[in-house]
Formats: sequence, structure tokens, C-alpha cells
Amino acid sequence: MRTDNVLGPFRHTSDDRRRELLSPYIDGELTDGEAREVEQHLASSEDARQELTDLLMAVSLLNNLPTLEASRSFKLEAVPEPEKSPPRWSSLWATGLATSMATMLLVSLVVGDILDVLIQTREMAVQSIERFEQAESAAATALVPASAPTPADHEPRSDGGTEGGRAASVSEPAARQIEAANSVAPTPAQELTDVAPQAATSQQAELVAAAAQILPSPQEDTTQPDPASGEQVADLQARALAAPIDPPKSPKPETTPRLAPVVAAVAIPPASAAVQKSSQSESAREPQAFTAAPDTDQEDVEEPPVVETTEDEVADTTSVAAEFAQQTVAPELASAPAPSPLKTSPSPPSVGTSQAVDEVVEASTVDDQSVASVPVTDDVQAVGALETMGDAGIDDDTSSPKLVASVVIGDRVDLQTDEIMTLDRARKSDNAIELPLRQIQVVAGTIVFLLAATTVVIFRRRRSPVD
Amino acid sequence: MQPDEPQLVERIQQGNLSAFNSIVERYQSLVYNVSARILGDQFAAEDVAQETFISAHRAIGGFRGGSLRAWLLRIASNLSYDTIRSKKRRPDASLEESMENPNFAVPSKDPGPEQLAIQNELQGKIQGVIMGLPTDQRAVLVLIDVQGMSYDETAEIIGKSIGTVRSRLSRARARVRDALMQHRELLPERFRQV
Repeated sequence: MRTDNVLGPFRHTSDDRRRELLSPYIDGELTDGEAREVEQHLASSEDARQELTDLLMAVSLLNNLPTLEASRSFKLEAVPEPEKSPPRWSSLWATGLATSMATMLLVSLVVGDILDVLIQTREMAVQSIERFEQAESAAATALVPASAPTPADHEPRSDGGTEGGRAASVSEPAARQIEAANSVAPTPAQELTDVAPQAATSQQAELVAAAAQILPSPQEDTTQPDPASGEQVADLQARALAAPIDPPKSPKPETTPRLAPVVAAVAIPPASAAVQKSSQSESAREPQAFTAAPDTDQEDVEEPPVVETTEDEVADTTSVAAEFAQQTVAPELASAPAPSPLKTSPSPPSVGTSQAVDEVVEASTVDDQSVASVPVTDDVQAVGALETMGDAGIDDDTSSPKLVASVVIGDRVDLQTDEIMTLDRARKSDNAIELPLRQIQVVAGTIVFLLAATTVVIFRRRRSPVD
Repeated sequence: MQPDEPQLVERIQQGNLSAFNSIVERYQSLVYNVSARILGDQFAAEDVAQETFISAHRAIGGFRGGSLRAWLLRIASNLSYDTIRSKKRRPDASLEESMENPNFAVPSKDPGPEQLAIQNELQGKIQGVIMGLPTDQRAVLVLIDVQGMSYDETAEIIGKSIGTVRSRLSRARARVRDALMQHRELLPERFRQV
């Protein structure tokens, strides 16, 4: 019993085969071996014999069906006309139209897809090139201050009439910082303060710091610069550049030019205030004396009194100012949520100003983050890069003194590397969603095309009864 | 092919209509019966038979010899399949009507009233069973069991192998047998006692 259950399917297969052999056995269409097999089965199985009997009865009844008589003759009275084209014209037109439409759909899908891919590839390539060039220029800009000024750096430079007598020749990094400083708070005093940390020699720094004390602070009306002060600045700058080059006195000459000028140019309080503070702390000249961060809000910055200092004091103050800017002011700015220095700038930044700020940002952040200018699009907004649009924001991370590089330049925004990576990830995820959609479109178009083609084939290959 | 058929075919290919009509006269009953058994509709079978001969006359130029009867029955069976497909698309009459078509009951020469009624009913049942078969099995059953053709010729007509013919015929016969066993009271007395 158990064996029957296990071998059931095989046993039934064998029975089915024997049952199937009964029909040709009746007609004598089996081979000798098959016939013997059937006879042995019939001899051993009563059911098989009954089955054969029933089958013979059915065949006999079928054989004895009467012949039907047609009601008419099928003779031809005339030679029939040649057969017309089998496919009906209406069907042919319909299938042809369907095929054409399906083909157009498929071609448009494929061509559109190819063009889309090509355009996207080109855009991505252009963006990559732009990012690379920007990162490269930022790196080059950042590397320049570390080198000694060359004679070419002393070429005369004209910045226009609004700068008054500030057409002095300065080194390239110093010029950049001056330009940046002017773009934010174009005061001669701050400009010189910016130059001070970058000064190649201590003598230059002394002279620049001295000029910074002479010139008015940013809180003063800068729309009408004092001509006398301008002349003094020009004179001091010329003297500074003509001074012999000494090894820098800064304890960290290689690192300070990177961030400190930026802070000084973009966000530091008036240079004179810094100088004043350094003068007041003369007894403790270590940089640690400035760890107590001053309040950088401009409302709290009082107009500094003019303090008479010696050249040594100015030199010390200038070098320490750079430390102050790097170690104290920048973290303070980083921790300050709002308003940002640019936001509270006396005059809103023009396009040129923004570009200058952009340069400074690029130079300042090249060590930590590369900066790239990307078009402002929906996905840029999606990654939250535009939270600080319209101004230069400050990074929320107080442990990092870096500036957030979200500076709007027209319809473009600068993003840091991590923001760019976030944006790239978002765009890649968008592409990952779009890819299956394109595949579905292509597959659907192909299916429609194949259906239409099959329909045409069926109609055109209407089978002839003679085949 | 009968001895004179090659000459007839040659004359037909030369445009002799009377030669073709002699072929029609020879095979029209066979063509009609095969079509009628496959279709289960004698009126449709007449149309199919007429169309078979028209198509044969048009295509006789391409006839390359062999069995003219098989060639004609191949045309008839193909046209019958086409008719079945068109009826399925436009069902103007149900298959049940065709299965119970009394026209398939042909009275015997000396029937008693009761025997005539039983005979008609049985013939109608058998035709109904045939119509219940799949089309491919139906054609094989009709050609071999009703018209008495050989396996080889049937294979030539349907364009399949002999093994296919044997398999289809075996399954068709088994189904007919099972169906007839359900109407044992209609069977002749010699089969009822089994």
C-alpha cells in the first residue's frame, strides 16, 4: 500500500501509456513489441479488457455514422476569379498606422533618452571642470602668501578713484586682503590692519600698524576719507614695501596667513580696537592674553581712542593681532549666530564686493574645505545650502573656526566640499530614480512596437487554406 | 491518387474546367462530410465545401503531385478551422444547437418508430460528443474513425507526424468512450449488455 502510494505517479504513467496503446492496437498500428506488451497487459488485467471492449464499441459507433448528403452540388460553373489580396485594406491601414505610431513612440523615447543622457553628461562634465578649476584657483591663492614677495608683486596697481590716495604698490596677498577688506568695510585703517599679519617683514608690519592707528576706524564715516590720512597710508605702505625683508616674527608664519587675514578682512572688529586692546595688554604680550574674546558686535564696539605707541609696541601689537584674529576672533565669530559681519556691514555688498568675499573665502577654506560655485537650483536648496543665502553665514560648529562658504554671487552659491558631496548624493539618488523610469519607458515602447508588428504579421500572413 | 488523377490535374492546370468538375464530383461528398463532422453544422459545411473547391481550382497550378484527396481534405479542414474561429468571435449560434442538430440523424432503411427515434438520438449524441472534442482531436477522429482514412494520410492532411495522429486519436477515442458510457441506454442492445 505504501509502495503503491510512493510509486503511484509512475504506476499511473505506465497505465496511461498502456491505455493509450489500446487505440492503435485496435487499428493494428503498434510495433510487435508494443503489441506484445498490450496483450500481456490485457491477459493480466480485467479492467484493461473491459476498457478495450468499451473502446471497440465507441469506434464501431463512429465507423457506423451515416454519410451526410449535401443539399447541392459543388461543381464550378465558371472559372473562379483570381484570389484577391488576403489582408483587408482597413485592417492593413489600421495596423500600418499603429505600427507607425509605435515606431515613432519608440524612436522618440530612445532618441530622447540618449539626448537626455548626453546633456546630463555634458552638464556634469562642465560642473566637474568648474569645480576643479575653482578648487585649483583656491589652492593657488592660498599658496601665494607663503612665498616671499617678488618684484612683480610690487608693480603699481590702480584701484580707482574711490580709493583716494590708496594707489600704493603692495604684494599680491596683501592686495587680495586689502581688496577683501575694502569690499566689506572699506576703511584705510582696517585695510592696513589686514595687511599687517601678511606683512613679509616686521618692519612692514610696524609701519602698517602705525598707519592703522592714524587712520579712522570703520565706525567712522568712511564715505569721505581723510586726504591727509590717505597720504600717510600711501607713504607708510611705500615704506613698508621698500623695507628689507626679514624673517617673519610670527610664531606660526606658515599657518597664520590662511585664516587670520580672512577674519581680519571680513569680520574682525576695527583694527584700531584690536590694536588698542593689544596696547592695553602690553604687560602680558603672550597670545594667551587674547583668549578672552572681545565682543565683536559692532554695537558694542566703542570708538577706540587714539593711543600713542612706540614702534616696538606697534610691531608687537601687529604680530599679536594676527594671533588674536586667528585664535580669538575667528572662534568668536564662528560661535556668533547672527548677525554676521557681512550682514551688519555699513553698506550692502555689491557684486564686486561679493566676488572679493568669495575670493577670501576660497583662500581661507582651502585647507579644510574646497569651495565650488554652483548654480542655485532646487536640489541646492534641498540640501539646505541656502539657509544663509544673501550673506556669509557662520558655521554652527563652534569647534571649527571655519567660515561657512555659502555666499551668494548673483544666482550662484558657493558650497563647501561636504555640502557639494551632499548635493552630489542627492543628485545621484535622483538619477537612480530616473533611470528605472527611463528603462520602463523604453520597455513599454518596445512592447507596444512588438505588439503592433505582430498584429501586422498576423494580418499579412493570413493563412491560405491551401498551405 | 487514382490512376487518372495525374492526367486530370494536368488538364485542370491547362484550364479545363470540366476536368476539375470531375474531381469535384469525385470528392465533394467526402469534403462535405469531413467539414460537416468537424463543424457540426451542415449549412456551414456546404459553404466550406464550396470554398474548398474554389480554393483548390485557384491553387491547382501549385499542386506538385501526391494524394489529391489528402490535398483537398487539407484545404477543407483548414477552412473548417477558420470557420470555427470566426464563429467563436461572432457566436451567432451556440455549439449546443449544433451538437443537438437533428440533421445529423440519418434514418435507416427500415426503421421502426421507436428504433428510429433511438437511432436519431444516438447519432445526435455522438455528434455532440465529437463537437466536445478539441479541434485537433476532432479532425483526427473524423478522418480516421468516421471517414476511415489511414494514419499516414491523416498525418499528411493535418500536417503532423504519425505519432501525433496516434496520440490525438487515442485521447479522442477515450473521451468518446467515456461520454457514450454515460448514455448507455441509447446504445444498441449488444453494447448495453457489456
